[in-house]
Amino acid sequence: MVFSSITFLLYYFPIVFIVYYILAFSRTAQNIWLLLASLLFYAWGEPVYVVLMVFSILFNYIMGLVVNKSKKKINIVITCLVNLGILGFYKYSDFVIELINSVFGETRVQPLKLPLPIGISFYTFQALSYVIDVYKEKAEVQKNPLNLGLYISFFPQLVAGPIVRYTTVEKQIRERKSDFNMITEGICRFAEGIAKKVLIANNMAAVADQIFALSSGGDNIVKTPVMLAWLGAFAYMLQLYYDFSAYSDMAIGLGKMFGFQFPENFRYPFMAKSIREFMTKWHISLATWFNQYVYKPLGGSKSDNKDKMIRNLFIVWLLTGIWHGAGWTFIWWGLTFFAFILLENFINIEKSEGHEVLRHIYVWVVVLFAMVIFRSDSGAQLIRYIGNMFGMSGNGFYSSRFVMFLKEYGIIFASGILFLFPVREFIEETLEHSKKNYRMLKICWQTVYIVGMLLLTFFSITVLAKGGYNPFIYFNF
Amino acid sequence: MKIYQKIFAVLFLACIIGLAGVNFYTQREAIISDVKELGVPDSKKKLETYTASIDSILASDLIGDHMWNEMYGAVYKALGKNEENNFSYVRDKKGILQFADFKNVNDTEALELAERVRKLVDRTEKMGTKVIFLVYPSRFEYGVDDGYYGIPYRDFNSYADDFIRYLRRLNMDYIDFRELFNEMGYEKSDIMYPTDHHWKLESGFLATQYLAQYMDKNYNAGFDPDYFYTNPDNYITETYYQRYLGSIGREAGEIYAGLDDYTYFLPTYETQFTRMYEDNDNHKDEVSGSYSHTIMKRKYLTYEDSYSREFYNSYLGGIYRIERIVNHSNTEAPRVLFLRDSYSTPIGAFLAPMCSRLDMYWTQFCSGNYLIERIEDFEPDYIFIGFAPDKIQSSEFTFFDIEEETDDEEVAS
Repeated sequence: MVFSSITFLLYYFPIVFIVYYILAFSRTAQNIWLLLASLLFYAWGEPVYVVLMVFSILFNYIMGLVVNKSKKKINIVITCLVNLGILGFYKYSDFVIELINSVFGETRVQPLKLPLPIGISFYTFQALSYVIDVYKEKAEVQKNPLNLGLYISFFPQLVAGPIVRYTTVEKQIRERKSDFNMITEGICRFAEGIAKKVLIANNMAAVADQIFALSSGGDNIVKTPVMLAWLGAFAYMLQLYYDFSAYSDMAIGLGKMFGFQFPENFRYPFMAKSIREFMTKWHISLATWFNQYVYKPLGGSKSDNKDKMIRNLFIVWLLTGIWHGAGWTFIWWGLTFFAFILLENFINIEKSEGHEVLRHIYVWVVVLFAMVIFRSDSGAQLIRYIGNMFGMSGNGFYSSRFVMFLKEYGIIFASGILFLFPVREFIEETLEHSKKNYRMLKICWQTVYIVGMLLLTFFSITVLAKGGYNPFIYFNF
Repeated sequence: MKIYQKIFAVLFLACIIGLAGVNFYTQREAIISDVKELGVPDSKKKLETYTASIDSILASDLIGDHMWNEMYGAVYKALGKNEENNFSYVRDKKGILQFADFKNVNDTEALELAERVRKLVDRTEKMGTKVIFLVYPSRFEYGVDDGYYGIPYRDFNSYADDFIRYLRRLNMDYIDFRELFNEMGYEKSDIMYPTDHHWKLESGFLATQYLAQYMDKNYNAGFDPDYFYTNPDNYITETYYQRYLGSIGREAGEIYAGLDDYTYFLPTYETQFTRMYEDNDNHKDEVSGSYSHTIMKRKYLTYEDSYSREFYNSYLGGIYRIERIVNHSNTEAPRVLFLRDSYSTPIGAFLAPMCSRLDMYWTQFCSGNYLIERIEDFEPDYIFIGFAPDKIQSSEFTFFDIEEETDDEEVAS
């Protein structure tokens, strides 16, 4: 099930929310209710692979108990092997088979063509973090399998993160407070998320998908002029950001509605002035996970040996790329960030002063190209698309389609660019801390907020009811 | 949290929970009935699609029915958008809804399709059957029709021109109705329903008139030598003003698309037909009687709601996979076989009184071997193949792609 659906908004959410607060007399009852609801949420999209998730819960529950009792390394190795083995089998087996076949130049092994269980990358990492933290004695073992089940399968962050570490919610599962303020915060966040997803991300997807589809057939069929290729890349950059961050907003918002505080996953990454800074603001929970469980154990950046630091960085970004998908383009995407972060380390870009605008432009351009790598279905399409961006295939410069897209989607592009920055926070802070008394302005802003958010929510539901374009990009992750 | 955010949160919860409650209360019977109809999934494969089907039911059985579609259309109209729902449809300057196509590329060479027609001509020549290809007008043509700058309209006219060139080269006969309407100075809004993907019945009548004249002049076919069946004076016409919301309009919404006029024709002369037809699920039916009881389906003219009022289906029910119309009032007239899609329905309906027997096949759903067998069984005097430029493509030209197939019965159904 996805948040941006009629089933979720008008059936699942109201029922889960109302029953949850009816059960307010007992935390255990609330937790059991949330666990059942979460399993139903997952089974709705994966009626078969829900079994895999239940196995993951039981296996990691048992391994938690085992590593708590015996700190032998073999136990943690088995845990990692089983968890990553399942993830690898479903996500990467065909990639490996294709690799083998390409080495031999013929089909030696038939691809398995297994469907990817939704959210498997997210919940596997959560489950792993639990057992590792118990092993490292950073977390207490969870003796109640239902509580662990709730941690791994809790529906708000199940399919698209944020990847919540067990230590973050360990206490919240047992004792959490939810008051009207928190529910309010959650609802506002969720409503912002749904509007971002349905009204911005989906519309940007319409633009990006059309333009990338043009280039997928090859330049001999239809040419993609330079201006159009750049617009497609830009639209995809906005789509990915809004799609992903909107899901995080909705997850965090829903978490708050049920009394959970999840970590932030995006902090206005497009305000960054370096790629390293960008990556500390983009999919923060994944970066934190790799930092805690891969980078630091390898020695991190504290190692005196520069070569080791570079190796550690390389491994982390290679794994980050692989985590995103089974394909060369994802690996190249990860290594692109590795290369730029390394470069920034050498030239010490973050300590350099001035050139603020240039540094912002630099970040946007690098990210734009990284997104083209991320979006391309194959190396061939990537080369073709980048070639189109620089007019290297006789594809021309000007495109009437470019003008058309800007006219038809201008308002979405404008909103998309505007909300890359903390507009709401800026307005609120300006009105709050100004020495002048902007009473009328404050009232106006408050009215605009209430009416605007209601209209955005209402129109989002309208789009969903109409069956508007609503791609779900997390099937790949 | 600030007070205005609290106000919004309360309103949000009230709206969502209120809407959910009212929706379930009012729609529960429809939902339960639809879910029951879906049945219980009894295999892994069905289980995998079961929840998606329930999602569709919950979305389609939503309170307010078409209100959501109309609101969406209203917002799009207010924003002045000329593309609708990720280029499902686009609008031209005359307000006609068009199909969008960024590539306008056909995956099959025009020569290959022309050669398939030639194969049929060769195969049926010995029976004395004549084959004539009919090219209908398209909804949009760059350079002729007025489109908005940069909007990707579907236009396969140059492909149709290539195809016709190959037909000529391979010595086959055709009628290009695009030329007819151009010569008559018709605008696209005169030829097409702005909200439906078909041409108007009036256009179909005019085309039938021209077809009969052409056949009588060039083949001495005897369709309408006395200008009786194609004389508009022998028909009652009635117009439903601003009542018709066509197939595209129903997707885009009435507010966005607007409404069309619909004029129907009914013969005043005496007619007697037997009509047999079979749909894609192999359901067969047979009716006998006058034109208005066999060729026409008047029930489609009577619905009150513009979303269920499918006027185009008032003739021959829109389209069936197989049609056989036996004309008891004109038994000496030519025997015709028509290979077609729904675009040809008006021509079929107006041609029926001029044929002693008219068989029609929706080629997309009939295999090549099956059609050849039916043709050789029927031995028609004339075969018409009719498609609009964007439908001149391999999937519609199944009829002579016959070498590979071996099992007739299997592919026929």
